[in-house]
Amino acid sequence: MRGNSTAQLTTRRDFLHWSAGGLGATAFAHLLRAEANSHPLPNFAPKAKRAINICLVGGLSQIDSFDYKPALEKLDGKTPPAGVNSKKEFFRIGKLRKTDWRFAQHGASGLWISDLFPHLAKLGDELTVIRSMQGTTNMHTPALFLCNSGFPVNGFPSTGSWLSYGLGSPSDSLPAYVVIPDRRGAPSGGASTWGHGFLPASHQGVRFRAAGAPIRDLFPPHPVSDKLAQDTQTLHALIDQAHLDRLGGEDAVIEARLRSYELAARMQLSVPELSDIGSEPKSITRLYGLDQPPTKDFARNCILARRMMERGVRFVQLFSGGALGGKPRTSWDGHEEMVPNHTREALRIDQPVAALLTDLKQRGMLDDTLVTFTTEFGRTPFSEAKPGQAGSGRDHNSAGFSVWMAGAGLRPGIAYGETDEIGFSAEKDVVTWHDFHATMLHLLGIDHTKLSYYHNGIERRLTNVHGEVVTEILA
Amino acid sequence: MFTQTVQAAVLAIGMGTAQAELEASTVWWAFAPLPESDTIPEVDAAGKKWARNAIDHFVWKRLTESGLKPSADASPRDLARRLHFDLTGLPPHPDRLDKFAAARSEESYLGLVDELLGSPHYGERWARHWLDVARYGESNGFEYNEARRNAWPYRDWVIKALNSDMPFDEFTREQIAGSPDALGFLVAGVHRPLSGSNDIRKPQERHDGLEEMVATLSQAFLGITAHCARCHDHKTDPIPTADYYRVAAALSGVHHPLPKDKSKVYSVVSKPPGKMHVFKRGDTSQPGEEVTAGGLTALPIGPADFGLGPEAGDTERRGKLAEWITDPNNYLFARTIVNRVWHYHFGTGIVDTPTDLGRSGGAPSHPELLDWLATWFRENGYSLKALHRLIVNSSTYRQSAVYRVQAAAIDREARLLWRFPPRRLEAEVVRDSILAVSGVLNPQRGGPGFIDTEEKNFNSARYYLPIDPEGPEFRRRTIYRFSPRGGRSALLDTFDCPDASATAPHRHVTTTPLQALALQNNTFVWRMADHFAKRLEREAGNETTKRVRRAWMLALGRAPGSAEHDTAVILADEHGLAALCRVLFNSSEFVLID
Repeated sequence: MRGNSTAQLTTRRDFLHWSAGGLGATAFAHLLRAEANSHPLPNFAPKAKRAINICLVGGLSQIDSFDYKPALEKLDGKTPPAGVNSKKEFFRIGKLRKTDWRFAQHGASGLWISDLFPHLAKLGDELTVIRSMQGTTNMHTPALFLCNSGFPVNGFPSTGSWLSYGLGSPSDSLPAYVVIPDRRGAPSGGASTWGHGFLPASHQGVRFRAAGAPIRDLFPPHPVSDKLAQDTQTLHALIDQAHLDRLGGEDAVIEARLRSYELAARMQLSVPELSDIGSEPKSITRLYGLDQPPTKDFARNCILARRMMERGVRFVQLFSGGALGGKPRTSWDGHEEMVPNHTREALRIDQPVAALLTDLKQRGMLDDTLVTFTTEFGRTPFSEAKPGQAGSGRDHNSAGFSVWMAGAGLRPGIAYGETDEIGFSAEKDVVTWHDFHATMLHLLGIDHTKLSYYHNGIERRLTNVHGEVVTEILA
Repeated sequence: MFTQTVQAAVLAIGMGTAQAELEASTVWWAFAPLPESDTIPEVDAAGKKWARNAIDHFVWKRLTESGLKPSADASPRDLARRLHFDLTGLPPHPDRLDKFAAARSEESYLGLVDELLGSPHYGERWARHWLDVARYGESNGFEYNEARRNAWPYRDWVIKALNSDMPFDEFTREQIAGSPDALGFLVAGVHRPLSGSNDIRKPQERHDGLEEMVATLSQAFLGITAHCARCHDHKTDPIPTADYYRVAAALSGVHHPLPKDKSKVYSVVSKPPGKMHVFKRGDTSQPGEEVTAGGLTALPIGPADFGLGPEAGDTERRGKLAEWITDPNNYLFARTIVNRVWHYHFGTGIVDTPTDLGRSGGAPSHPELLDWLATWFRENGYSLKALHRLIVNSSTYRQSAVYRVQAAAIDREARLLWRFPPRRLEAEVVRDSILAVSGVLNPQRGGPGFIDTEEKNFNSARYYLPIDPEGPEFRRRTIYRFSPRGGRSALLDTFDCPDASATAPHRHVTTTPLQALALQNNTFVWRMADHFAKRLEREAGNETTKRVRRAWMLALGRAPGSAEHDTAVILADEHGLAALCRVLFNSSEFVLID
């Protein structure tokens, strides 16, 4: 799509993305602009029709969760190899440190998972773990931007925005892309994390709030009677119709605006209905841990995510971990003490995330829903301490870390790729974020080289000029 | 001479001679010289009757070639509103509208144009356009996103320069090699403070910063995407990698100020630039041939190399670059700005990609007109106000916006301008209009911006959460809003206000339920509706019918129709005037230029 040549066409097109959206409308919109990038989406039959991303802010330690390294037991207390600082990224390189958790093989597949995630461990046969992720930066915000947008800087559309742009929303009363930040605060990068970059603003993530009306400005600041709402609408329609008549009976902006008010009214009904998790049976709310203080926040978000999936939201993103810093920290950033930090954070999400997978599966939805579990980067196998000393925390490490996917189109119960002996750097079958995004788009029926948008001289893609689909993990 | 230059450029990008000759014979239009003299197309008698100036000759010719006819002039009310929004970004006061409608003369139209161009609000309106191009934001972006509390002097400089009709070539030179306030342009973009002592990442990040500057500069002034040549020769335009590094060398003494320089104006910190190399595939660990400061070889403006050695200082390099860009023989320079101005007047440029006139950009709808305008602009001293006057005085601009089925069947988007293409107002104009109509717009100009975000600092990373504070200081025009990156405002955001991550040559126009919800329910809109209601009580006496009429005149610039009037009176009597005011703010007529 080239530029923004007219308000009319763009309005109509973008509006379609929001509303009747979906595949047919998107294809139609693309045909309208046939001279540029005219690949109707999806490019092929999708395995997944929708997706949920659980994004861990701060950096989950692979060595303590999904990447079992027996050698580290023996090397505990030894000096790390000099090669770990070849990029001069670390200022405090203490002794190597073995994991504080117990690893075991789980399910028929025998996947290694530590008891940091006891509930998830029981679902080992559902997970497709990638142990050979590699990023390009050890800094929080750039890493968060990278895993969300493929670029370590501001200004590029998030994955969810690309999906909204490419696939639209199957629902006409809910947005295509919803974001639920951690109740404790927004991640580093703030709203830019789910930003639309150079795509139209309608594709940015719609933020669901933890309290009050779920969406900003969903309801008036003061009560409005039904009569006032009705009278308001009548007069509004009268003015717009008169305007439309004066303009010769057709105007795409006015027509789109008229429809947007209808949809807004519908959203005022659909969003509260969606958010009413009180209507869920006890058995379900218990499964997610809504009744327990440590899990209730994330249980709520996971139940909301499932309800959104059922109601046609294309992509939901749940953040685990709020703002960086704080004492104790409120994210997965275990610089000082791994055990209390990761224990606290894992406790908040383990049961809810496992319940989400279980619940999707029992409803038959895991067959066409993709769930991804990602993090900014991993952590170092050495402690963050002065040389020669043994500390109890770990530093950021983008050279090698673990993520997982589950659901539609994947080979479940496998671990793909390997890090080196100490779990520091991805060595075998390295997967970059571009590869990860290409694979994700592939599962959603999109050829990552064909989903593009012209911006300031360049036909831009989520995967830049890189990315290979990781076919080995596909079913 | 020109052909030779192109050949040289084409050869430089590694084509064979035969291929180069072929390419040279098909010079891309934007790189071709401007026509020497006036070449206004002849039109028939009907065309002469319709035309008011040369623009109309070009437009008439293209319309008739496509079997189209222009539309009649819009009504005085529509024209007055169009001019007000377009030139000042504010709605007309009913008194001014009455005066204009009553006069119904050519003089009154020209007089209104002059009045609006002379208004200080003109600079506030058009500076907003330029700040989009300049990717002006008031924080660093990236992980720490420190606020730039002293960046506003650049914003004020742009407003003043436009209000004083500073010639565009001087306006350009100032921003590349002028006063500290003007130089805010070069460092207005995102900036990553360099990573401590990391000698691998540091040069790469420094070059990322340079690329950001080269990208903005080349797109803003030359309508070309020179940054695409950082890692490889430009894929579609004759810009070899060496050209990119020549421009980068000219800017390589430019540095962003450090956060500790808080007391000074946020502007360029000049340092000795040193040597510059071409870096293979943009990788700073792979230096290739050395280059010195220069311009693009494909443009026929004397030698591309500025003749400065590696020892040349920052000021000298930028001075040469500024001269080179604004050289009268730089055809891209004039073409780019006239196309950009056209884009803002009509919603779409003659080329619909205003920062890319290269082969990846859009095709011009009126190539001869673009060339003629560029020549005219250069010959008229690069005066933007003269250019505005020429455009808005044309019959093309004054056309009605009424839709015609048959014309739309031929040219749906009205690229050929068979009507004035209606368009939605930008976020800032929507907010400013709400303030103006409510009678509470604070006209205070310049100085530090008002702050409607709450700054949170976690571990030295800043977040800017939108808040809705009350009070006169927050009722200034939106251009005076402190605008940190990521500090999105609820209302502005839904109306497609960009976040200044990169140059924004055009605004998206989206229509979503969230936008409807914001205009219906946002606390700012409700508060302003209360002010609007109080104004009606003040200005229109006690009768609801008079208040309704006044409300229509203030918000929409016209009297209500009888059905509108009757329904509005019932609504106001039953639910209060503020409820009526909210309906008007939500109407399409309130947010559209037509």
